[in-house]
Amino acid sequence: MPAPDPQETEVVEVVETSDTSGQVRTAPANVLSGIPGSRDDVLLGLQNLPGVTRAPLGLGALVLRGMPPEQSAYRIFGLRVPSLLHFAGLSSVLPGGFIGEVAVFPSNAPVNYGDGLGGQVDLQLAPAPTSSTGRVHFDVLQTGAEGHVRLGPNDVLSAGIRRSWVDAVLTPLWASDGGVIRAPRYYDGQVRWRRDAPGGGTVDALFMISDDGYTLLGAEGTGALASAYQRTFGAGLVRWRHRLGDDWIHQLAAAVVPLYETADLRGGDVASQWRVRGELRDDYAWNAGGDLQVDLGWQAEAEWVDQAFDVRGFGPAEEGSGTALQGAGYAMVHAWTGPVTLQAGARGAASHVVGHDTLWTIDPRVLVEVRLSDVVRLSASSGRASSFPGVRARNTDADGVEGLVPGWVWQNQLGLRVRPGYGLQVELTGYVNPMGNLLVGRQERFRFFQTFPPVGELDTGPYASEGTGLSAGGELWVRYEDDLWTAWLSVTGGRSLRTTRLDEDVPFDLEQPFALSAWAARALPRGWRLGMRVRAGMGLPMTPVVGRYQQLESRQFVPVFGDRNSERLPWSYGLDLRIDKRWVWSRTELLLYLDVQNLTWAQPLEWPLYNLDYSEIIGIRGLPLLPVLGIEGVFR
Amino acid sequence: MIWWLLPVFAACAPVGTDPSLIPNLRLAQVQVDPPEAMPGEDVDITAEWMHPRGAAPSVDLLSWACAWDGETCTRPEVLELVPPVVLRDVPPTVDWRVTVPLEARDLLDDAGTPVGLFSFTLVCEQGLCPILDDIEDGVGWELLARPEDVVRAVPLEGTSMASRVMVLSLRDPEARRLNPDFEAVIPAEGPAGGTVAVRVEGAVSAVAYGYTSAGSVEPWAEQLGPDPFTFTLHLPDTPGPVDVLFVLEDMLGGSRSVRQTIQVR
Repeated sequence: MPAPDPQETEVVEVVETSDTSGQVRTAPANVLSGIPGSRDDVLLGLQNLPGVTRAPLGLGALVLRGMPPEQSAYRIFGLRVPSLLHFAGLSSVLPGGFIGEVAVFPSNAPVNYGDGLGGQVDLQLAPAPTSSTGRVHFDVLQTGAEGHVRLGPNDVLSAGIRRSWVDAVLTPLWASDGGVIRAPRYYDGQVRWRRDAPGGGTVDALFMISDDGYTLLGAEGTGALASAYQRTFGAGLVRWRHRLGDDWIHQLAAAVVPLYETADLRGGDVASQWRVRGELRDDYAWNAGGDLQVDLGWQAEAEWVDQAFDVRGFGPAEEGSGTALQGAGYAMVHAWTGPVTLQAGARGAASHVVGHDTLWTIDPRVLVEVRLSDVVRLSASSGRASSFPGVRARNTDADGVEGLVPGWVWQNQLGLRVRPGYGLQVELTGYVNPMGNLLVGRQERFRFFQTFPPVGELDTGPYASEGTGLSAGGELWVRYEDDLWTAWLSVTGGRSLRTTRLDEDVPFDLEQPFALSAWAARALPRGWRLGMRVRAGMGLPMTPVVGRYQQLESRQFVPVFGDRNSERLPWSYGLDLRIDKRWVWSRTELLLYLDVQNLTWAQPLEWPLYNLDYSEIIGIRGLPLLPVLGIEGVFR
Repeated sequence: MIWWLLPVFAACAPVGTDPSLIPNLRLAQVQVDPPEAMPGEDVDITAEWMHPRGAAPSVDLLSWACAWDGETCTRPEVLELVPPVVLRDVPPTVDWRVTVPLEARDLLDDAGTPVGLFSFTLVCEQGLCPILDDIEDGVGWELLARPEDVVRAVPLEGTSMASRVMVLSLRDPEARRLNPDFEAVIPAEGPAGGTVAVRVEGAVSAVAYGYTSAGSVEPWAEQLGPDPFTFTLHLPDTPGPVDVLFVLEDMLGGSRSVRQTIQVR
């Protein structure tokens, strides 16, 4: 659902109903980037929302209500992109000046959103500036520049480029006797053109590229490659939004998104994939009267995938390519009667892998909200979301199988929002999301994992739609804002369980039954601002090593695992600090900030890495104290 | 793709990562001689266990053979043909002999294609592994068909298990593989906190590994070439005996070892 556009007040009115209790959580970019510990990055600030599990090492992958990151969709004005974050979550792929607002649906998104069983993260671009603006940014990790130029009364051209410094900073620190490590390196570039047509309507076009690379070299001086990884993707996104008469709003949007990802492990095991995706969306909103609105739309997508994986320890070499075509249509009614708001609709989608099978789904969703008073709103929503198995699982010319069906989740949610005034807002949400037909099998195969590969006994059988699951919990989000203070309290408690061909009701790999994030920032005289954040979270599940034996020919130890996810890593705690000062002159603005992550130097065990004979957990620990000093200048 | 960072963190974590130092009870070597045998032939098995410097524990041993596919022993009759061996209170170097029964011919196809078998050996500090009592009593053999379950049935501390490939074939003796030749010259004594050189010479294309109960061996592993190679043994700072073992592996199941106690003065 598009977020309100400050330049189109009539659109704000039409889509306002999406802002119902607990269904969508929005936050402006400047608030997110100013959260202590977020390194002045908008999207890293999202991890402070309730329902968002902190990924291992705090590296940015978003785990929404106990669903894997790859089951959540990341979008820029409604169009899907592969990721919004650079490698290892070091930074978002768009600089702050391009981002206006971020909307997060942890679940129960409206029917105009599809693709995936998890949540939806929709990033809205910043509104066009009233005058030409330049911005430069420099911190310990990266540097960038962007410009927004008014080309007359109706057109704004923006361009930006960024390059990380993190490799130059960390590589010398990480160099050890045993090897030379090159820290991740990334860059991104953007060009945006926005035209506000004199007769009404807006055209917004964004072209962006993101490139991440990481190399680990072997023994110093040999130059031998130990492992390397590269991900490059581009996106061309265009949206045309305009009125059709007095009662209709029309939005046409299209995207072309090529992605190339390659890894070279141990100097010989190679994995690569190409994905090229095209998407066309056509959305209509009809104001059928003062108390009725109808949204209609259809989407068409095509994705070509070409993959080759040959990595020791990840099953046999695998190669295959294929094309998936997908079409979807939806209809949704918004009705207002007295204190009650009703939003009901359905989404139908079909997916065809060329030369193979065709699958389809119908996902009904309904939401009812009751305004009990000017202060209190109560909402309930229930709906189904689906996910089609990918080309790899359905390509019978390679290693796929016939007979798979779409995975589903039935998302049920109750929300209470209280706005007692004085800048205070409290949201309490409960959810119960049963899942079925989840894809299982071939767990040993290589894929470009967003977190860690699974450990323990793996399901190496053929793909099958036989998994089930349940994600349930509650969330509390308290926000306070006045002229001096901004503060959030986010508390999440819940379980996410899975049943597969091997295990019954085991915790999901990234399940975090409890997470708390509390931060506050206060404006001080002379442009100073001071903020602090406290984090606490229960550890992720882990599959313990209960024994090991040694293969004498290779002298390698082979771990023997206990029950899957039967133990848990220790709790993690953190204290972060941010202090900034802003100078404002007539045409220039300067921001100097110091963001200190992990002030208490707590380094909780984040992943159970073992020593060579599995007799001891060495562990991967969290980042040490990480001070990030940055400066940003805005010139008008 | 976070897990690409694993090697990064591994490289940053020196604790417990010296593979040459024996940190706990370890079955460091099992040699099967000959590594390729035919039905009716005697096979000598030698096991070498090590432990960190200090008082040696009392150790029991269990050994069995298995046609293993990585998960289970696919030919249960192997256990009947080559019964498991339990030895009590064994010294650090212990050997025993098994005879490959003539009925093992049934494990081979009509063409006599060689079959790889696995020899599993478990050492336990006395009293930690009741499974040894069961095997001696003739019960619990079904557990041996799932070697990983044997590992699960014993504690992590105070036990050590290893697998060794052995080949069953009908080939002529001169065509069969043998254990590689190997010579390691290990000094009988050395200075506390100092180093001694260990000269190793053996089969080309085999890998030599060094283990010690205290100090370290540098490098831990080295692929041998036509010329002798010299390992450096870093001795501990305190006087006393240090147990040192060098093993040569041809990566195909053939191996040989040399063991020496060095007096640190």
